[in-house]
Amino acid sequence: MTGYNFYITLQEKVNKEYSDYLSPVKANRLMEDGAIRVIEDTYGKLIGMKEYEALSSLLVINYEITSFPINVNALPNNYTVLLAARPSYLTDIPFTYTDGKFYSDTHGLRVGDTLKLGAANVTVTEVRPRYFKIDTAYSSGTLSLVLTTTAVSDKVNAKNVFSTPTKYSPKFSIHYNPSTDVRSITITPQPSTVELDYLTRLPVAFDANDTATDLNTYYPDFFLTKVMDECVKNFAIRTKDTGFYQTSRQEIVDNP
Amino acid sequence: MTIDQIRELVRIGISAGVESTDSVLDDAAIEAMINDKRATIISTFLSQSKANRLSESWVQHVYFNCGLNPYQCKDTVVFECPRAIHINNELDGFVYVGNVNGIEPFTRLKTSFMNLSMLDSMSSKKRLLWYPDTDSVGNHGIVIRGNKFLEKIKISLIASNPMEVPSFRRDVDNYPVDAHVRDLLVDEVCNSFLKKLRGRTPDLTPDFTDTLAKKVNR
Repeated sequence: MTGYNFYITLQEKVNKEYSDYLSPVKANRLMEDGAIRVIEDTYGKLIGMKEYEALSSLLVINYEITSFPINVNALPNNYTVLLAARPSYLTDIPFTYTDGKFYSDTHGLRVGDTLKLGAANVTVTEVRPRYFKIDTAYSSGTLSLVLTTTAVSDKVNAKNVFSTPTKYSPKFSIHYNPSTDVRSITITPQPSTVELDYLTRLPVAFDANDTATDLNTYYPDFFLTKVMDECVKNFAIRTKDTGFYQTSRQEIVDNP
Repeated sequence: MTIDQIRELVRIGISAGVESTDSVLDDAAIEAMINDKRATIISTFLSQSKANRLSESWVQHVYFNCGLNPYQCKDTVVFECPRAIHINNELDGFVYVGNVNGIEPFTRLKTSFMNLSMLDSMSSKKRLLWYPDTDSVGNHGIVIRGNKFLEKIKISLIASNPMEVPSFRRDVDNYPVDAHVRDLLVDEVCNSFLKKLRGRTPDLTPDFTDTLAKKVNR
């Protein structure tokens, strides 16, 4: 279904008396508005595979960031809403290296731990109370233990001792800085890297004049149908037609 | 199961399965409650059981490599140590304090009974005596009398806060409970929070406004 097909179907679904209201320009605004509302509604219920699939072309998953704070306007594909932040923290391991063994009384490591040796990941293969070994040949450099956790949202109105963020329960918050005109995501305490999952704007707009782009490439049919129903309902609201509004709303209730 | 996993079980229990990166309950508050409830459950188990049986999975082991002699007293050494749980007048959470080989306990002062009192007869001829103590600046430790040159000991204990035990890695190590206690623990912590939340409309969408609840009730 192209944007033009969507526009024609939408025209057929609304009352012909109001055809003046559905010029391509007005239809574009109606479709964008409808899509945003459906996305917001679907995003609020991101608990099943169906919702994830509906928004699949708007989801950016595991996007890694190494500089902080994170400017949301600089994120790829037009950031809208943060879904999850998984920060990673590095802890340096003190050791003395001799003959394949890393001697340390306080390493606290476990077999299978991932360590950073420079930029490379290495794995701990053997652990004793006084030393440990790794799976990679070693010549020089520091070893750091990687701890990856999931950040929860910071609650501005909760400043008690329990809400103090630690690297085991980090927090994210989103602030606008008027002096730099930048909206940014802050993660406390600051990690070395973070993986973000977030929602973007529509990758392809609903354009009533577009006869080439197939919307199904980006959006599943059931998502397009919901956007259509939402557009019809919004049209009824704009034309202040109470009867039409009630039937269009009932259609959404019947086909959730 | 790590403390993080137990905490999320509690969170799922309280929120009826709805998971979110947003929550009205802080991680640290839930963890404090988990630690306290663990102590209560284990304490109840041990004080009600005539045989004083304890599960190995509740116990944490600490090896200390050097002690302090802060008082400059003859024959006294102090090893800093986390606090153990209280059980009753005769028992607390210290399971073993003694030689690092794990089979030569030192004799305890101040209490007449302990979990390993039956092993007293195995202790060495030259007896080392110990007791838990807190100094004037708040450091909690094990005071050992009998050998001021003592450098290495092993302590096994049911700690009040398992996170404070040196060598415990909270991100990978199993929280020191067995499955039975863990099950009780999650239920107890959920119930505690739900009791406190009772009477308030549920914040089904965690946005502090209870909008969904209002919609449902309307």
